[in-house]
Amino acid sequence: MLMYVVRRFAYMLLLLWLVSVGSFVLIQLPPGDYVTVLVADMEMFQNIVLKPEDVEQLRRAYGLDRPLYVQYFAWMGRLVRGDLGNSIAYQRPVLELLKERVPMTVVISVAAMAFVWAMAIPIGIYSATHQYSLGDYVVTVIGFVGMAVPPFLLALVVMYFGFRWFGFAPAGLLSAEYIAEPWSVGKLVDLLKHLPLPVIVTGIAGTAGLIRVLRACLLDELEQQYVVTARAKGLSEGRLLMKYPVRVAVNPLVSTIGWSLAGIVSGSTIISIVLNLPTTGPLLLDAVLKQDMELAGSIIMVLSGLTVLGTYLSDILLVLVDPRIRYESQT
Amino acid sequence: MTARRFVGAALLGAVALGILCRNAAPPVPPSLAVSTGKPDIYGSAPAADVQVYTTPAAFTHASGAPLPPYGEAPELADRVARGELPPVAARLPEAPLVVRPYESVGRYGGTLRVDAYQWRGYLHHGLFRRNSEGDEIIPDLSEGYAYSADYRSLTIHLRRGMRWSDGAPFTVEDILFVWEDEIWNPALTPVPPYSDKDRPQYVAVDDYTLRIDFSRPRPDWMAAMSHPFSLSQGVFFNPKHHLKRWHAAYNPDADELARSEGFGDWTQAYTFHAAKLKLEERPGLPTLNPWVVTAFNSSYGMAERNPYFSQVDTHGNQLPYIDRILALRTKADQTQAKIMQMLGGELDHLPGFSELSVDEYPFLKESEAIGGYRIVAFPSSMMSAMTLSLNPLVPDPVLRPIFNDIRFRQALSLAIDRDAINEMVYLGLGEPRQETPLPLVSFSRPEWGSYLTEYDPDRANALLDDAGLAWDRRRRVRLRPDGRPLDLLIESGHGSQIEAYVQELLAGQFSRVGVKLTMESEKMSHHRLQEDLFELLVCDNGGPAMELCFAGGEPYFLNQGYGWNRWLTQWIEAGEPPERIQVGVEPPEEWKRLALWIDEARTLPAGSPEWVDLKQRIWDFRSQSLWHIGTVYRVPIFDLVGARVRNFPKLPWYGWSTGAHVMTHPEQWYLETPRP
Repeated sequence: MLMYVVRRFAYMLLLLWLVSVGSFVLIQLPPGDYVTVLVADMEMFQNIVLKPEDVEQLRRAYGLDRPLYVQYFAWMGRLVRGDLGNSIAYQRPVLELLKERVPMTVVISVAAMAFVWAMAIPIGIYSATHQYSLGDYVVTVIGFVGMAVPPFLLALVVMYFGFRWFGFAPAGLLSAEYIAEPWSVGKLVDLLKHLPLPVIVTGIAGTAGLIRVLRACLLDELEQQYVVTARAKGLSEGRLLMKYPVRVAVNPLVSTIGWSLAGIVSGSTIISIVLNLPTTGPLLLDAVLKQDMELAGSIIMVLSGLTVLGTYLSDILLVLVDPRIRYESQT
Repeated sequence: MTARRFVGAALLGAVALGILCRNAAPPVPPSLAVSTGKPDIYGSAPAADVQVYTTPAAFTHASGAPLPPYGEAPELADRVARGELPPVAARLPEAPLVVRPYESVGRYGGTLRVDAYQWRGYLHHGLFRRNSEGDEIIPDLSEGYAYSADYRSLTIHLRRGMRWSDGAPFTVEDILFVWEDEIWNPALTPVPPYSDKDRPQYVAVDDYTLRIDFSRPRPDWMAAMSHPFSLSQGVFFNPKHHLKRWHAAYNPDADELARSEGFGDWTQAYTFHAAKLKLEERPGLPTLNPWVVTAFNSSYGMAERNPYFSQVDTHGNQLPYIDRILALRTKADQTQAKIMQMLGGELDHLPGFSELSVDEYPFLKESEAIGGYRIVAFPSSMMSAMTLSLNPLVPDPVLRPIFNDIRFRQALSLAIDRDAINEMVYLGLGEPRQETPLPLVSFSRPEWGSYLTEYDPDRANALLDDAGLAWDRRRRVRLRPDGRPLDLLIESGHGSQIEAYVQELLAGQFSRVGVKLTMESEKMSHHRLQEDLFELLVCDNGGPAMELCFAGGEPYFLNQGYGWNRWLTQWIEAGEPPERIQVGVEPPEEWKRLALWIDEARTLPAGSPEWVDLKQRIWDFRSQSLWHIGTVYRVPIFDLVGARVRNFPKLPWYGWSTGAHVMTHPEQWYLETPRP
């Protein structure tokens, strides 16, 4: 067992290193670098024409004149010491930028997850226990629509009608008057006013999917013999349902927690862009587009780290929990 | 279809759905909704311009009344009373600039909420600017300039007693600091922007007078530098008292200081703190602007009133009126989210320049009342709102001679139905025009703008036949000399929706003359432009060289053909003989002649008969070369202005050459109700 844990840990480090090389290469792959992007932006939008020597000076100032492998090892060297590096676009440490973005992202993601569970579990149970009833069909249709409609489209439509009917454009997470203020009751109320739309939009597809999963699992379980036995012993229907089949059927949901770790931190990128939410996703996208290497690379490393760690933990937990699973080497 | 475009289309769909639900009318694409007659998009003529008087004496001379005693914002008066600030008269220069507000003298207070993308436009002031017609250079932070009779020396006068936002005096020292310790410091500028023979001498006559001695007559210098961003902080002057601690010439331990702050060496630390071209992202940097940046993070920027700002209104009140500016950072190209913020009353101003495109106009106009804003439209000063460019150095060896055949370019210009583009894309608000200097430019000739702008596919076909591009057997497409169909890749300068519309229209129009277009609506990379890798390009925002001849100077390079540009730079600036030039591609003789003309025009005083004659020769040639084919011009740029914002002027023209919304004088805007 200990060997297994250690070996998996070594694999994990190797995997993370490969991810770091891969993401570095991918970010550097498009022709040009951050300075190219900056210069193009200045020429196109600010009509500032830079001479080649100005461009070289910028490149030197940003340290982009060094060979690629030097840039990689400089970044790696800081990373292993726990320093996420500096964003050249923002001219600030990546850690600071993440500190600004991650808390709000986690708030939205966790709220969305709570919303998904609060909606999906009762509806899924209802759907399974009332299979082929009118209610089941209604829920099924809504579920399929929820899965089929791209969430960002839903966000736009909700935003439009929200504005038309209520005169309120629920873009962003905070009103302008609170954004630069320290935390207060007013700011919290403002946040709570803005929260429902992103939470519902982010959660709706997940809810629809989860209803389907739960319904299928529960239907399987309901036909098991232990259910018939319990029923024969005279257990009340509600108690029977909650105590046995639902507990089993919820298992697949629980096992997803491990790998949703990264999702919680990254946030839903496209929805965040459409709704103008200050989450990590748009920050990463922007960094990749601008070839802001250390910002993009470090966010990717943090997210992959969380994914790998989540999987690692759930693998180990599985071994501990389920005696049928053995990962000992076959040789 | 990119995600962004899809989002745009989806919102359009949602709008159409909204119209459908309300009126039960069929959904109409906004571009077709207004098709008959020109709506009065610009409204009535401006009431009165924002007028500036260089000094109180100039104001008194013009108005006949003395300037009342200085006033200041209540919060500053409180700080003076508490002894934290000197009194207002001691903070202002001896002779401050006097601004006559657009509508009325304003009231102090409030927070202006804007988008961070272009917020330097609210903050920025330079030594000079243009008047709103663009034909006169007027002092802004400086007090004026004078040329010597032979145009070999230029004197710039600063304002006596003017101060940085931290109270330190602003003097010629701050200009010499940039000149000597940045531009001529090899560690900061390895390749200085002047060759030794061209290097001007900067002489400090006294603390407030700078003389620049040129090696040859340079009457063009002020014209080229009159842009508000040219003689400005970070480029022309910097707060020496603040920055010298990071500079090795003033601090022997600058490298150590840099390393303690996490930089590699002092040049990196210095570049960061001086924040060239990114002043609005550096809180704590002293400035001469009306507002000082106090915070900038990934969600917002904040700027507070500069207690030392050097300008007053006609009642003697120190500007600016508005207390602070809050700039929300929405992703740069996320226009829909910004419009939503405007509609929801979260923003007080959304600039249209390079943000709002004309296809959004009908929806925004319809939502004016409900959104609590007004639309203020200006005619764009761009020479052409949408330009089709051909790459003279196109890599395909078969295409290059075709592109370089003038008949091919003439045919393309004749094959464009500009009225259709104007109606379908610009709501019929523009006017057909070739990309040439605007009619208001002094040396402009009417025939330039109308050269081959008529829609004449028959003549275009005849020209293409002449050029040897025969049709295929079924007369669907013309064939290249190597027998392959003439299929050109047309790319997009910004990846904007408008560019995509125009690409589609051009593809239809060119197919009638047998030229097939393959469209790429994703933004073209700068790399493809600089390395001369593209074939055709449509671009909706001029480009660097477009508007400059409006302002006076004119670059001798093109927006494309960078290989030629590199060669010409060596030839003209470094004076290398042609056989020794190793970079770029040698351009044809007529382009070398053009470059010499442009270089010569710089030595002639603007407006002199020789200068006008030379400029006309330049543009007689340029207007007929058709490497840039113009479509329509004078299309509206429109700003969304919140209902509570007052003193927002109407401008006769709006564009980069006069400084974009620097020209709206945000320092004299005020908020009718300080709280939204």
